[in-house]
Amino acid sequence: MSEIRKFAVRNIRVCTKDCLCLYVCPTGATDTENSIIDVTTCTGCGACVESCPSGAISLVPEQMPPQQKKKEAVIAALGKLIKSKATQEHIASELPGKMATAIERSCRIMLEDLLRESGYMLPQSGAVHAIMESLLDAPHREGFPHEAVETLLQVLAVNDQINT
Amino acid sequence: MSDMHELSAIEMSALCSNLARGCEKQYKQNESVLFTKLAGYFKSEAAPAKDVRFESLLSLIEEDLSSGFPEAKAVATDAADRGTLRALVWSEKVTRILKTLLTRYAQKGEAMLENTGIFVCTICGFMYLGDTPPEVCPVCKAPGWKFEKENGR
Repeated sequence: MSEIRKFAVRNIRVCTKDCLCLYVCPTGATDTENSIIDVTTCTGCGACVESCPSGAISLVPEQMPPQQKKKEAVIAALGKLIKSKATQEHIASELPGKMATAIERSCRIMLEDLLRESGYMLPQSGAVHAIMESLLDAPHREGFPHEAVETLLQVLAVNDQINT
Repeated sequence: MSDMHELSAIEMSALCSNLARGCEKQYKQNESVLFTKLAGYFKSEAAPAKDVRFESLLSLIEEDLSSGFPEAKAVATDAADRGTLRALVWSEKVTRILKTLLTRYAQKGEAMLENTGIFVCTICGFMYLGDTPPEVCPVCKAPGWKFEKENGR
């Protein structure tokens, strides 16, 4: 198995600015004014991860492994709940008051989670790419962000074969 | 890939906002912005909802609890799909609590929310009434700062 390139990322919520990452970084990638480690110079050596006293830095693979395959029966059963939660969000979005906005929000969060478990966890998955490509061909009303879809298809490399 | 054509505008919107979150977690900020834009497009594309009443929400929720969740949990158990079971356990709990809140709201109306804030856990969707969010989400155990306050419209 070939080594997957990794790069370091800093969680700014956890970072306590002890700055040991600056001392150990061989390329200066950690030394930036916006606290985002420079991916173009990070070598993924992991020295900053080991030295950080707050555990604020982690190594993320440049290429994600393929996501877990989902069974058709699971996708179908989740699909029924997804339809229901989407209808609830839709209704709540047209009702007044903060109870309604809270329900709209809550349904959206559950929907996102159920969709992730239906095989749409990774933006890099073949399933997501297939949907995006079908969007380019389908008719849309004015205001459809065509170029956003094209850019996403370009920059997000597929990490698995199209399955399901 | 026949299932994707059946996704409604709201479902497409949720799919895209989910992917925006997925990109954000991978520190892909630009991609996240683009997915958010797409999510906004699909949300605005939805036709007006039918049956816009709190009562219809309650009946949909009751159906989720009586058939949607038990059926999906049986299928996920059968498939030994741990991740799906986890998502179902969380969303079923959130849905149960939502049912309780909606039932109370049907009786008391806006008076129920007069002197209290309403918070939503951005990880599992748990709704909480109070002045400050709980320290830890009782459903998914996310820290309190993951809650967001709802201000209505």
